[in-house]
Amino acid sequence: MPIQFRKLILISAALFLLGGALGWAGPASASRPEHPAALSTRPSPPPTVYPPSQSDTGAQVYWGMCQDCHGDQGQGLAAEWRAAYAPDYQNCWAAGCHGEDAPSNSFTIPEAGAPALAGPGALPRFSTALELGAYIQENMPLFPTGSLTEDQAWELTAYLLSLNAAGNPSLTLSSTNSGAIPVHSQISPPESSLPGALLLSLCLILGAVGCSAGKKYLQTKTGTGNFYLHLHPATIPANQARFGYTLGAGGLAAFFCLVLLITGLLETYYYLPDPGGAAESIQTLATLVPYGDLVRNAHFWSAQLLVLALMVHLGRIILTGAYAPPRRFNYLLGMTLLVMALLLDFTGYLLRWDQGVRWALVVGTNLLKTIPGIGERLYYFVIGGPEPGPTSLIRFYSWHIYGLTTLFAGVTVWHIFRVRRDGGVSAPPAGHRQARKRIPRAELIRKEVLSMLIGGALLLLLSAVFPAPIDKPLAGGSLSGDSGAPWFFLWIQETLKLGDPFLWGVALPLLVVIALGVLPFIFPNAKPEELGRWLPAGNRLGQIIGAALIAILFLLTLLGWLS
Amino acid sequence: MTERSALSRAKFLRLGSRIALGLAGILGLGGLVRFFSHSPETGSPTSFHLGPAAEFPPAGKLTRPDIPAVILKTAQGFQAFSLICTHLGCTLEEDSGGYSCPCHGSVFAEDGSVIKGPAREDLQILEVELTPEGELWVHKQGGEI
Repeated sequence: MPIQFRKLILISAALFLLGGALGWAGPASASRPEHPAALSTRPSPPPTVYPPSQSDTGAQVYWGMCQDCHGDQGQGLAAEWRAAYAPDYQNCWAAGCHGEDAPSNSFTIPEAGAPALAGPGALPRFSTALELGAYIQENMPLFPTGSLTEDQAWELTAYLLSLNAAGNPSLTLSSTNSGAIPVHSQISPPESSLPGALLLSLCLILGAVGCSAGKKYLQTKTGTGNFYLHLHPATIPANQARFGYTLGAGGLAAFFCLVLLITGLLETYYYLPDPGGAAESIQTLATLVPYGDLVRNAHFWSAQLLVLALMVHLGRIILTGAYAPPRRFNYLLGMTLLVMALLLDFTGYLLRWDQGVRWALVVGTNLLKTIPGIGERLYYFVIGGPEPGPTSLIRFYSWHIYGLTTLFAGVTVWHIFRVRRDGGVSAPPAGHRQARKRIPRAELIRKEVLSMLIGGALLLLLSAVFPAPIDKPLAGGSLSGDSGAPWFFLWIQETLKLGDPFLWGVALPLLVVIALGVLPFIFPNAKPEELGRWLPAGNRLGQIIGAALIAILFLLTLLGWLS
Repeated sequence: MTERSALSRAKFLRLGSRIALGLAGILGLGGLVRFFSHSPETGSPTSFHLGPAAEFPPAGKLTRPDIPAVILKTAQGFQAFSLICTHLGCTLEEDSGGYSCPCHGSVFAEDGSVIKGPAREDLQILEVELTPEGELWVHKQGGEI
């Protein structure tokens, strides 16, 4: 025991002497400490937290790259922080490192010094986290500029917000939400809309179960005073009311239109049709507005599904020969609706006004210019000026929510009215029916309600899980961004690769629409007694051509998707 | 017997679906109310720098249309009141020895007290701060019209 104790004293004494000698020798030998030892006492790194939040990671990045100039507390290159440096280095400019004649392996610090990043009055020129993050990534650090990854820029932004008690630590900053997050004030994001969406879809499913199990009882109810009942024929042939015949596509399309109308109306309460704020307002809707994400996602998904439902509806009409007279005119109305739906989808897509729509905007509008004769004028009419800008956005907005929507609603009503006028869903004339069974309108309505409930529940679930895309605002200079068309125009993107833009981008799509439109007028139609079932022999040629066209569109879309 | 049980099943199903769909409707309405409850942060400043107290106008009165407010230097110190009419929020105009509202004709005295309606309350007093460095600030609470 005593021996060990003596040993300990000896070692301590030796260490003490050694330390003293080094301390005494220090100033004489090392006249210029190496960088980064210019800081006489470097603050200890921020604590490691597991799992680290975005701002925790940002604190580490800040400690490594930013604090030398901006201070360990974000106080900036103020006297207080300069005092942390060795005496020779307290004036960064005079010390020879960061003055006008900075050596090539260093850089010049602007005369104003590095600004404070925290405290009252800090970060005056930024209002959203998006602006701050973009500035950091483009301009920081000074040497070498632009060396931060995008993730690091967001981490630093999150850290700076936390230093200023702004934003909200529960939000992970990204290009899809930072436009909604203020730099100078705290926000409280709404709770997730998932539980609400689940509960609501559960209620709808329960309603659907009741509606389905109550088949026997609900049918017996036959009211006539109700306007919704009045819209339906008293009875329809049972064979043609089957899902296997109609695929429910037309009804589903009408349902999606209804959802689009309601969700679109709600979106207009928050959307800002201005190039300086459109994408930010969508980010606000999706991030901060309670159930705003759900509303937007439901609008997005119904718009995508509407295109699919309309294509399936068109395919069904062609493959059952249903467009035979007297339904030829209504077929044209349907084709008009399909084209308008595509235009609505395209204008709605452009309203995002974010990096994702850049090339679709440029290509889509330049295609107009290629039309001989009227192209230039048409371009000005659509764009509202010599190049896409604020007037273009307000025009797309106006077309999307007033012009096209009003036309679309009018033609939809006309289309549905014509279905009734032309004798309902196509079916063989009374004398030729093998099955004479008919179902009453109450049963038809029950089926409709059932499909709407199931469709609504599925749409809610889809919207709760898969968010609609949104990116950084479409700001001037930068040329990044998606180079793809929206998926429903991928087929045109593919044909555009073949050559002349007018021929392949305007004339060809127009020709496809015309070819589909003239099917009932130039090819033989199904005979009346052949109606009401799939693949009648009467319009075989029309079926082959229609199916081939749709298959080609599908393949081109797939090709565009894969490339 | 069969008929009775069929009837009660019918009733049960009808009631059940109605409850489920009614609940869905209530949930949807609740969501709608919450959807409209979002209020964005106001970006307008609430504190205004007036400059050094030493450079205050010798006349003892400073009008700042950007706040809008008028700041008076009195024997008791600095005093400020808002130039927003307490009736319905129009900005007051300076008149001979007072302030009048261009919208509905309310008149206020130089010290902010109401002389003539329809406004019923005196002008709102704003907080004036004199920092140790001798700088003057005026603060307004958010929320007033």
